[in-house]
Amino acid sequence: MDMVKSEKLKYEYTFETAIDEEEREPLVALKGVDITIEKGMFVAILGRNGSGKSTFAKHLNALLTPTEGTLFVNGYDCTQEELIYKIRKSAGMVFQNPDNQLVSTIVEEDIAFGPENLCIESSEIRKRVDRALKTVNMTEYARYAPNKLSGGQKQRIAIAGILAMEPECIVLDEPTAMLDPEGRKEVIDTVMELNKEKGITIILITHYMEEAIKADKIFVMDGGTVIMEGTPKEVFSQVEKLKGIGLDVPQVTEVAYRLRKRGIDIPQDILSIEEMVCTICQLKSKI
Amino acid sequence: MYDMSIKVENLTHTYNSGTAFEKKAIDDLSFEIKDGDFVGLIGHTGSGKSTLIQHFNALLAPTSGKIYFNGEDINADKTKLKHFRTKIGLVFQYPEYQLFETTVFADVAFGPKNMGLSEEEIESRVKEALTIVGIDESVYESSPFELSGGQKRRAAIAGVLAMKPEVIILDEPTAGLDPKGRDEILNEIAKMHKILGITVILVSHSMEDVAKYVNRIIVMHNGKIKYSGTPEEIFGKAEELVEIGLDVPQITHVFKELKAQGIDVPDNIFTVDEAEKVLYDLLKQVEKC
Repeated sequence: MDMVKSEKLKYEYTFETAIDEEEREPLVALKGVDITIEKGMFVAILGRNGSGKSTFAKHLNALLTPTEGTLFVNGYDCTQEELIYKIRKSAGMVFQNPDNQLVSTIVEEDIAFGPENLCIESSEIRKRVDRALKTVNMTEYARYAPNKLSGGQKQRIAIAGILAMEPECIVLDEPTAMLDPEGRKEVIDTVMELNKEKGITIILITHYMEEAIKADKIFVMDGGTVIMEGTPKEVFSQVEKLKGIGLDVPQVTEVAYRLRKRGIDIPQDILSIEEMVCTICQLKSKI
Repeated sequence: MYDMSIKVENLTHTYNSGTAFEKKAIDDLSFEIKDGDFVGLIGHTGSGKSTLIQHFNALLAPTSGKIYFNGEDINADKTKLKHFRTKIGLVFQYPEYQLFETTVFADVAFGPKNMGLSEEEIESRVKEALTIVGIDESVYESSPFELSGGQKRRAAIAGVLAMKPEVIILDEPTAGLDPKGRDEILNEIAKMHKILGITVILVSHSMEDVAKYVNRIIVMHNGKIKYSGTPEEIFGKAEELVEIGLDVPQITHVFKELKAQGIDVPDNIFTVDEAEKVLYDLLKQVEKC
């Protein structure tokens, strides 16, 4: 079954409060998006600022509803207002700035906020909070104040808060943009573990190409539509196309691309450090 | 003439001194930043980077120790703080949130206006600053809030540049930008470093960005300076950097690994350009065989 299925999804931002007639022209952020994501997948969405990624992500959590077209999340029709809580329970969201998402003064209370609002029994909430803390490796910080934590730790608490609601899908909108290298690694490792071990569908929006190479599938958005989709190897081997729309490729892919252009017989779809090292060793042994 | 721009002597800053929440954020730092340097300041979250840069702009006063700018103690005379704040410009994280005026031009003019400059001088400075950051004259009269994310950020940087600082400090200027926006901003910064001869301090979590632009790196850890040196020297310490929550550029890992496998390559390669050159020389013989 599909976790997400959108067909010709369109969304217009309207500026009803604008005094000037002209400014009331709607801004079309999504111009017919077709995205299908199977349950249990780890998907990355790439695209430049203003390409429509975040607008799409907000639909998955019913923060926005489609202007036209259809969107089903976990089988629920996102155009039906009465399904809004079922949709939000299916797909949780983590945003860029951890400080904007934490609501409580104590870590474990913060994680309990979600399940409390779902009117879950308190003994069950306790269990869920403990489980969520354990999953993100933050058990020892249960009684800490969130403002004493590092950025990576705060994002893991935000993820734990979502986990406590037991969603089948987590949407992360640039969760690592404000973090240092270790914080980025902590968050991505946590997300990968949730995907591999608990089978939670992960939808990751990112500007870090190194994070996207770990996905099962990548969607590239530009100008409000999906312009590329495929495995990381399929997408990143199109170096020129990606650069043309303001994106980038991992450093190793870029080097391989340049060497290839200069006549060296090196594969175009190198994505990781290991692949690069292995390829060079093989080429070298031919000498 | 002083050849150093900023000199820090035994600088310590303790937050909430004398309370149960006392915390030493920076601890007995001493170093110099030379005039015209392009410095990368790296360190994990909580390492003391932000506390340190707020001292350069005199937003925080040292608990002990001194900061000299061109030989003058910036905290010696409180009436001169305003002067130092125009000489050492600070661009905060997400500076676009600080835009507030009705037009782009007025926003950039705010700083110079407060310096009490003449209308003509203000106008020429605003135009110069906006030109350097690559903002077109056609949007001078637009609202700053109509600009794209990358443009907003560049307009905010122009606001600091218009005060003609001798040193500009940028706290994560590329956070949240897409790769193209990131490259554009960094290229503008490199341009102002080159054209204006301005000293730049770049605080960043991106090792790739730091590697590509700066000529000196300062690594902070637990309120102290752990390492300081050229990019070659610093990125030669991959294990040490990872240990303190940092990293080296992806391409540097490739060369370390190649060397470990017995291939004769330098292990301090940290940009794509250098990597291309070295690997091309290494592999071109394969083609000939």
